[in-house]
Amino acid sequence: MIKTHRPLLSITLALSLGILVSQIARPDFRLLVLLTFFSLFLNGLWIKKKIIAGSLTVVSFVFLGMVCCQNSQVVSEDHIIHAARYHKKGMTFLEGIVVSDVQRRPFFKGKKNIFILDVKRIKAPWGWIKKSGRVLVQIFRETPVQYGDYLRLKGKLYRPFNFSEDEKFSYREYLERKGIKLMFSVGKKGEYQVLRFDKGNGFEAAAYRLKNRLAKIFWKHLTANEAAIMIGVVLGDRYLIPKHINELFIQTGTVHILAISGFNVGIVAFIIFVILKTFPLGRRWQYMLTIFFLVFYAFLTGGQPSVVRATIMACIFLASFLLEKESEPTNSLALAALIILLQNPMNLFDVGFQLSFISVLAILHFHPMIMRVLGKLPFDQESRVAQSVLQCFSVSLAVWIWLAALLVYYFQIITPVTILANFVVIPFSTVLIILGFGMVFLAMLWPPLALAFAACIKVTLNAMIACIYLLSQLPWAYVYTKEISLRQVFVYYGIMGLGVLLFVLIRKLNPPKSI
Amino acid sequence: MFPITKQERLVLITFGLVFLFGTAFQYVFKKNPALENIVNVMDSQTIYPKVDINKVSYDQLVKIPYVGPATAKHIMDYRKTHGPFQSLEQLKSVEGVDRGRFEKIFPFLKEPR
Repeated sequence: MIKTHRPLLSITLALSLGILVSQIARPDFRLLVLLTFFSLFLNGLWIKKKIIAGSLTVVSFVFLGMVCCQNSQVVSEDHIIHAARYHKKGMTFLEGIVVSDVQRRPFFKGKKNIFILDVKRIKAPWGWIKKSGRVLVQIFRETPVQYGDYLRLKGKLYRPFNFSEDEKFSYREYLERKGIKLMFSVGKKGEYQVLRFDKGNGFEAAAYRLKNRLAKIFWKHLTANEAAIMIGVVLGDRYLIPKHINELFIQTGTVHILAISGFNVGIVAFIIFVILKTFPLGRRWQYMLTIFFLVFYAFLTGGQPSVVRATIMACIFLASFLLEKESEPTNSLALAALIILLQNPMNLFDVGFQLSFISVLAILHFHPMIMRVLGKLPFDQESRVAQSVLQCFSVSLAVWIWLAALLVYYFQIITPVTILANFVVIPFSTVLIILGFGMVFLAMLWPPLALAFAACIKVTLNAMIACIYLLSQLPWAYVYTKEISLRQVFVYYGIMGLGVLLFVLIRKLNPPKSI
Repeated sequence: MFPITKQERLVLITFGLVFLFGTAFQYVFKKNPALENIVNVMDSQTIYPKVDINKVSYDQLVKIPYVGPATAKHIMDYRKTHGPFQSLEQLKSVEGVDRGRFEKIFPFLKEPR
């Protein structure tokens, strides 16, 4: 039996545990640094003693997780948050660089522009003062502001508020996890001025420029709602999707197809690879260019945790061909988590991060267990159709079971229809992604050809929505539940974990008889 | 004679099928514009029928996008105290329904008669 080597899994789990403990207990930072150093030192001392060194490595990463978490929450002395209280009343002048893509959302009869500003200076009564930190800016009018612009703004600076008493979701906490502690509104009396252009990262700027160009193609050829969904599925901007349509996807448990995940990244990688194959390039160049374009695509879609996770896993998979070494999926997943958590430990509390990683873990480890059980059913083992149906059923069931507690905790909904809905939605969305990329690609090369793709998208997309609507109308398709506590979520995952351990133990005691 | 690989053939067949179906759909939509409206399920009221604000129950209100339990309760309380809504604009007087929220909710409600 080949023993799988997953060194990064325990490290990532230890780091995550450290972040979690640090958020709950908040131990002293100096003590944590000492403990981390001490455990690493002992680790080095007993490096040849396998069990002791292994345990110490795990322990040191738990402490390291705590150190990273505490460090990420401390702001520098020149952070804008310290000046915010002096600017509560009246107008404030700010200068900074736009560091995100500019969202152009509909607002009443016009539009509002939303983006993240990396603050450089703030105006005090005695002049401009250097400041740092990020603020979320809203300009309540249509502007030509773009990523990389150096702006001077006049408006109101304030702490984010929680929009509604209806929702458990806290907007303030959500922004804080992204390192944004303040908002800035430029209303009717406010002003904006672009002082300099192109101050951002060239690679990122090119990605956002292409994204906006591709979005315009969707707007040109499709109706508003159709374009909003296609932009969400292909380019990662979900904020334009109408709430009632989003709700249909939530009720049928198929909202994952609106988010860019491994599934979408896989199709994108396949399309890039097929296009590159038409050029006279060697295999190595094809793999390297596919990796480059996948990273570019991750930037283009805004770098959400699920996209970064999928891109890292895809890149490791492709790199394994380049290096002629087999990649281990769980280890790749752990590396993706490690990179995302080291970049911002608060990502551990991001819903998208949790759903994305748990679903992939369920597919990697729980789906084979279900397949083993299903394999005992009386069906034709040779039939490819039966195998595909069982695979799809098993993947959907594995993900649904492992995400159920989190979905109830965050959205108070149970969606038994998911397993059936995935059979319908996944083929539709595969076709849509291919058609979407085909349309934007052709529209840039030869616009009249894009019309045929647009007509196909229109029919396929509406057929998919009609199916989702019908599925949501089935009795017991979805059930809204009461809120559950975090403790109940932990109990659920504890029971699930014990169940899996028991299954593995039984398998070890009674190994399957080989022929 | 045709030195193309299996993958290239697959791409060409896919492209041909999309082009064929796309052109056929365009032709049908041009000939029967009404059919395009039927296909356009997403913009139709079937997907999300408008509800009467004076007849809607608490459970139905909660299911309307952008209306949560607290806002639904405020709307029900307002209707109980002030009687039926005369116009949708009156919703702005309900606690928790500001201008922004009203703009989001009103596409899902029928104008009271």
